[in-house]
Amino acid sequence: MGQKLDLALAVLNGAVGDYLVRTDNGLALPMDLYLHGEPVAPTAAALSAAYPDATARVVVLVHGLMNNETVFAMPDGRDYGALFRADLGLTPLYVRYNSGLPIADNGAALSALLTTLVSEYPVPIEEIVLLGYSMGGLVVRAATHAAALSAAPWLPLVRRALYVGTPHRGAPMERVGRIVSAVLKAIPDPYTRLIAEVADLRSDGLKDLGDADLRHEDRARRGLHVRLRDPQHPVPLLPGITHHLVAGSLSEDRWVRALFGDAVVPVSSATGWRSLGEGLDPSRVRVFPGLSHAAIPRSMDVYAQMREWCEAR
Amino acid sequence: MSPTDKRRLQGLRALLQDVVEHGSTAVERVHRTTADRTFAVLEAIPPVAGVAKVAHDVHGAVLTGVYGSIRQVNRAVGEVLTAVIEESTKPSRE
Repeated sequence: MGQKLDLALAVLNGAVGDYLVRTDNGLALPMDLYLHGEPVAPTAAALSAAYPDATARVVVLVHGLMNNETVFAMPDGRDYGALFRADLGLTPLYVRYNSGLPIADNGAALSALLTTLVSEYPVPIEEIVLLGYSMGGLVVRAATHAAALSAAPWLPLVRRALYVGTPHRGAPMERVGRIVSAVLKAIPDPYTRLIAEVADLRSDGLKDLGDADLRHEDRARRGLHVRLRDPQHPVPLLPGITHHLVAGSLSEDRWVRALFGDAVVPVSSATGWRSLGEGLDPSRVRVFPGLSHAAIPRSMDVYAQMREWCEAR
Repeated sequence: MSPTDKRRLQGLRALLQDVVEHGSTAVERVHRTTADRTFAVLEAIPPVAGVAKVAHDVHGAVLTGVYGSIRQVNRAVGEVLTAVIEESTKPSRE
């Protein structure tokens, strides 16, 4: 399958992936492990064939909205997964999924996939490192939340979770879109209502980004506001896992950081900002000035920081 | 063609059909609402109210016919494409 087609499908799924699933459309992407652009079935035979040199420590890489695992690729062809493999012996497992589905659904699917993985993987897994970029970080959090509720066997293997450019407190751009859509709908004009209807076609996954909704019930809290009224996220970071947060910023300037962050996610959202529960050690949060949202999933500086974190026992 | 490619081709066909179906329905609604407003003004003016009412009814019928035709053709094209995809993905006898 061509890389361009794969990316087009990723964008389509991010935009209207929930509709594709509801209408049983063949363009909907199921959640799968991918290696070199091809799916790897979570069966013992397929995993043994795909990972002949599988190690007992794995890093699971989860991409963001409207992209796939190629978002981690650097110009020289390496990516965070390959670097972790070379430097720390972690076997990289790339997850591809339909980013238009609700984050809660993708979290549950990831939990189920990892449950299958630990039983089918070629060697007993001793450690799982979770790495989520942008929406992928929220999917990781939703998966750990679902796993904690169901006592999934893979959860005790997770020592560390890395969040790269993840909007832990939501994405203001989506909240602005929500308001614009509501205003257009309120205007008694058929044309503006049509525009609002088209805007409302955006996927559940995209809408979940507004307030970083990790559970279906969290959607009831949604309101028409750009600023967050409630600074406390309803799903705090799971205890028992060491969480590391990476944020990008277009500039070192205080105002640019506060207003624009990495151009998509404000720094305050990517670093949690008083919302993720007590005890988030400041040494586990790092802001990289000069890194945009597009650059942060493939930066050697970010990798060096993540490696340093992972090397610390 | 692999089963995945075939499923995706059918998916693309279905998605394009959905876009035309729902898009034409939405545009028809806007068209009708806008026209209704104009005709409502004309129908409130006694000297032209009768003619305006006839024109309104004719306009409504034409709208129903035109947009209905678009959707009928869309469905027919969809059925043809479904058959073509099925036929072209049948295993060769040779």
